[in-house]
Amino acid sequence: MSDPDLDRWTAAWRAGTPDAAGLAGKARRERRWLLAWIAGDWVVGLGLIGFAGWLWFADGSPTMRFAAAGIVVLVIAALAFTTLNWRGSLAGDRASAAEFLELAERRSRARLRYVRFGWWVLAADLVVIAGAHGFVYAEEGAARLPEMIAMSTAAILAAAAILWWWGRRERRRAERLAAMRRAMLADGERT
Amino acid sequence: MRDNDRELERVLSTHAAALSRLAASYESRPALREELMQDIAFALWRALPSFRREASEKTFVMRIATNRALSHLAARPPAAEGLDVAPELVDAAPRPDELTALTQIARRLQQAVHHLPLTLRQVVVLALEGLDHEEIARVLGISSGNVGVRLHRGKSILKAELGEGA
Repeated sequence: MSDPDLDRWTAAWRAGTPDAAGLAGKARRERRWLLAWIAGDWVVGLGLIGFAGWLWFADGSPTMRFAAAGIVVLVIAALAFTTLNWRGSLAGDRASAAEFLELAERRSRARLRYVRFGWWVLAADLVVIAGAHGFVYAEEGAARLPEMIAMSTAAILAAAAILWWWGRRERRRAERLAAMRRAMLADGERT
Repeated sequence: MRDNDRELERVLSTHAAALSRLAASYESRPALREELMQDIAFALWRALPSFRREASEKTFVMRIATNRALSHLAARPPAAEGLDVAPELVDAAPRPDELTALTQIARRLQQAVHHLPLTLRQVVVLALEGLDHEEIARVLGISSGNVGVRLHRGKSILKAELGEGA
């Protein structure tokens, strides 16, 4: 079915094609970058697990073994999250735009829940760190405390900054996706 | 992997111009448009093995590209009005006195399309790329009647912007 307006505009529309050279090369570069990123995560993760193994066997004290087990649990959780996030990041691309927006908003809200969980973990860390400081004070006195408190504070502030940035970014993304979905469905029904 | 690479090369060479125009209609900032194009090409590489030819190849490609563009908009909202610039054309931004009539119309049309509300822009861009109402409905997940309504509204706004009158 011919549409005179569209027919008139189509020639002009096609005349204004921005440069699209080297698209396949860009896809290959993106793929290499992503694979390198994922490989980097695994290399760092396996390195940390190796370090935890060394802590477990080289020292052997209950405190070091507890720390080693904590490192392994955290690394496994982080690698599982990275893998799931990567696998889901392109899910829904083959769906319609309305379905895609619904899925993308759901994923964004799920990431917000991860961030909230992260704040709880950080709060739990604070309790553990305070306990560790108390333990060191009781065993060794106050000599090492200033250094330990400075390092703990830096680590906690860095983690809090990342959580705050990630939460704000994800909240904004979820709001935009929700607004797009509302606009998409505002004029009529879904098919 | 090699077959998929070859298939991607073929699909991209067939649809590169359409993908480029679609990306430009969602993102006018050149660096971010480049990023969006890269994102679309990568998503196509991931999605191609699952293409079962239930729809036309063009519909499939446009669906992936539209979804990537929506994801891009959610992560990087458009620049404030007034900062938006028209995408550069293939013929390397000639001086105003060198612009052909067609190129001038192309620029004005691109700007007008870019200023359409998102839901109308989606339909107008896909229609300008030659998809029919049914295909646009499949890409967007709305009814074909709804596509007709949005296309009519979009065209009315475009005519007003282009000074063509109703």
